[in-house]
Amino acid sequence: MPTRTIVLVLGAIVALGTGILAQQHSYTQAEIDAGAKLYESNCGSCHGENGDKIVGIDFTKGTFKTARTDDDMIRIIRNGVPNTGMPPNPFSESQANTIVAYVRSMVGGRTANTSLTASLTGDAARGKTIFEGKGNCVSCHAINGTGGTSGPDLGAPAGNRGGGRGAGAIPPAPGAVAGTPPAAGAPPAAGGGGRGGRGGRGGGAPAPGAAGAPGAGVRGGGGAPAAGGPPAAAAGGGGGRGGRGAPNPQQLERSILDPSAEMANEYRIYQITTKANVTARGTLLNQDTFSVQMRDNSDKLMSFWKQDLKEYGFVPSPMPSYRNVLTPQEIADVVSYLVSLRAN
Amino acid sequence: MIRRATLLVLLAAVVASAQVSSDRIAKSATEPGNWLTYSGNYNGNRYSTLTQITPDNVKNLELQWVLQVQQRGNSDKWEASPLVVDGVLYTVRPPNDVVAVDAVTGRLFWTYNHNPAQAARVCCGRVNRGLAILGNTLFMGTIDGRLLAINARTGALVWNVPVGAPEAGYSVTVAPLVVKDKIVVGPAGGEYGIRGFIAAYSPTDGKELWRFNTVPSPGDPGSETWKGDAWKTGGGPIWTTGSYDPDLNLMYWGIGNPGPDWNGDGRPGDNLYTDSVVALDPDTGKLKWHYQFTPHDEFDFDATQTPVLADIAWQGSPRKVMLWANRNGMWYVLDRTSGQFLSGKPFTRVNWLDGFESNGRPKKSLEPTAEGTQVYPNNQGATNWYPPSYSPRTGLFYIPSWTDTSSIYRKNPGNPPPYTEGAQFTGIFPTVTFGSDSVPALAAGPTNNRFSPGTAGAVQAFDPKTGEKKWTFPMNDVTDAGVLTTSTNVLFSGGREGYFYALDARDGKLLWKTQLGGQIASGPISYMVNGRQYVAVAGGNAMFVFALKQ
Repeated sequence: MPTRTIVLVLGAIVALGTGILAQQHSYTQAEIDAGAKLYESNCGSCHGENGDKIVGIDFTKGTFKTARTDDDMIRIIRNGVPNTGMPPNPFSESQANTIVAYVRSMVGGRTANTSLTASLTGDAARGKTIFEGKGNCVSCHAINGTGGTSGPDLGAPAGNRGGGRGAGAIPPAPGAVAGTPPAAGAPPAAGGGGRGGRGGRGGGAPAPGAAGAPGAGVRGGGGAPAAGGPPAAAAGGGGGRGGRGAPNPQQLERSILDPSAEMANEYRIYQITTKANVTARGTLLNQDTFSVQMRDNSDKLMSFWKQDLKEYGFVPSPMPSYRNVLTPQEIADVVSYLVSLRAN
Repeated sequence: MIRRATLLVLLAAVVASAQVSSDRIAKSATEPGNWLTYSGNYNGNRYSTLTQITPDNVKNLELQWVLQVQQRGNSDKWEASPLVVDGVLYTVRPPNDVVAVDAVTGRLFWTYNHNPAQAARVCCGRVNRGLAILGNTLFMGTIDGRLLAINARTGALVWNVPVGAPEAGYSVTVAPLVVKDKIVVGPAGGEYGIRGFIAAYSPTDGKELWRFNTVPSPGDPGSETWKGDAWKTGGGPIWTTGSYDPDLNLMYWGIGNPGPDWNGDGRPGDNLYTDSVVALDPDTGKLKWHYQFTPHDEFDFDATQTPVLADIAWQGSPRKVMLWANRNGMWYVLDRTSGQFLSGKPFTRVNWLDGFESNGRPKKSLEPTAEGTQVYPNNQGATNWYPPSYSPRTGLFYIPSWTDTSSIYRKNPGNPPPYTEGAQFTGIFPTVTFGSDSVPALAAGPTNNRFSPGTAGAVQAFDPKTGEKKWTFPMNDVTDAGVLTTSTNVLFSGGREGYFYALDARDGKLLWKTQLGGQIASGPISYMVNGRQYVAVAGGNAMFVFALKQ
């Protein structure tokens, strides 16, 4: 597999010659719309509606196997990739160009424009006041390192951000651990922090308490994952959008209104209780008909047979909805404030 | 070592003497140690009468050998069902590499590698579902639309003929069916606006002997269900092997979706024979009867399932029936002599029809809309090509199922997509949802990242005599795995999670499981060599063979 990848990459380099650093085009909305139509009927069945169905390719993250430039993509769309499922397609260069326009537009995720605050214009300055005052968002969320640490830092641009705090983001299961659940009962903060690339769990506060020592039913287990582990390592207490790059205003708003719904899988808090009444909380890594794999809030890798568990499932985000706490205008202001931080 | 070498020589000698005839396939029940055709027999029931492995001892299965894919580009799902002929196992490693191995040791006798033309285009993976054998010749369809004959002793190519043009989206993924002296296949390509057909080829030179167009020509019976030129790109692909009743001399094939898939506004009418089962005379290709499961389909409900032939007591009288679990979420009992509709019942949540007319025609109640229509089951179907099983011993019909799934179908009403040769011709790809949750990882990765809380996959057992569901074995993830049953009431299946498991066919109780590390996307088989029963199944990028510990 690595050999093949190298061959393809080398092939792309050879094909491109000095064009490896070819410019990124900008595209018109008309091109994007035309590309969307072609994509829907020609590409979606394999790549998926969201462009993330092929392992190793994710258009919403701009992740490709071999393409480096727009010209690369046009060539691949028209000629296919030998020895893969990617067939040649009978598109003109300009048609292929519109598909590239659409694929490039998918970065950041495709989000319906349904918005509580769509008709409102947010004010970033007012939003900052609400963030620090009425909303008390700072009690959990920092802005560039200043503020609470129990939620993701919302200040740093996506990609450079550490993805919020470390494993301590996950409140321990009641009664299972020593230590006080962070932010219990505290005013929640605006969500919307994504996992910030591979910064992962660096800089996070240490876990306030280890999960109860797993007893019967625990197979495997192990130490904390080494640095450079999967990007899913970042743990957010709530509202982490993850997997879609920097959240757009609609995603930020949804995170504020419905934090649990907006959480990406890797940010959701998973809890198991064994038949011996041992409880563990953490991040669900995998599951199947017979077993569950998770990483608990002390970074221990754990695996259970479901037949040994009394209960297992997600617990809601500790961040409640702000739907009835802030007015739509105030929410629009906070969203504007958070977006303005990104622009900087 | 000497002893092993002697054994191999002996096996080779056996192969040299054994000619596989259609008659031998028809009487496969008399030689349960072999697996001579895609489903193991012409009934399509994937039912083995080997008795060594039982519910009591299946826990003692252990791995005997593994056959791995030699990596050629991206890996694709391993969907092939092997053949076993007198101690030699033949299968296809994706995309189109034929291998012959010793069925006892897994050691290679020979390989034949076909390099598909780069013009090849397939909707859903470079897959192949297996081989056929007649005499000493193997037959394989290829993703670049060809049919190959390969010498089963030497692995040498005998002939290589075109079935359909790959640049126009024709491919062959189905395992051919041998009936008498003919090799029968048809092209896949339902997402490329092909015009499908079932064709018979001469085993000696690959000459086409007859052709049944799954979309009729103007003036032919069934053409009244099309308008204008829509028939030219009407779809009706073939990608799951048919079944055959030697007594009735009828061959049954399921036919895939009309083109374009998700917008039927340019093809008004029922669009025969898409989404239908057809009964053909294998000597002439003439149509005897048909039944259309989903008229004027806009949901991609291919009728590409294995036709399962069973002789049961229907309302107290013996009857030759056909059992059919359809992608559209319904399972059917048809009279296979006449095509008469006897029964149609949902095996999962279904909302696209409102019962049947007396002749068995479904009363469709939904169509795609500009704003989107939620349809149960989802676009991938409540089942698909994954082989089901019928056990004459239990009298139960076993369906690999996706339960409680739906898709949102959208179309631009009155504006079907334009056709361009070689481009996909489908409409708007539907959103796949499970219950109220989306599915993040339908891609066939090595691990299951599907965290949806809704029900997903299952093996379900139904009694065709009563229509009653007997049991369900639920899985966390959806399943592309086929089902094998044995006369000792053992059922083998698997799923996307990589488990290969055995259930008690009578009650669905789990008897044994093992983890193969990659999804099961084929039907298991069973065979016997030197008095020992084996079970073979492909999982991920390898095929695994089990037998009882000795």
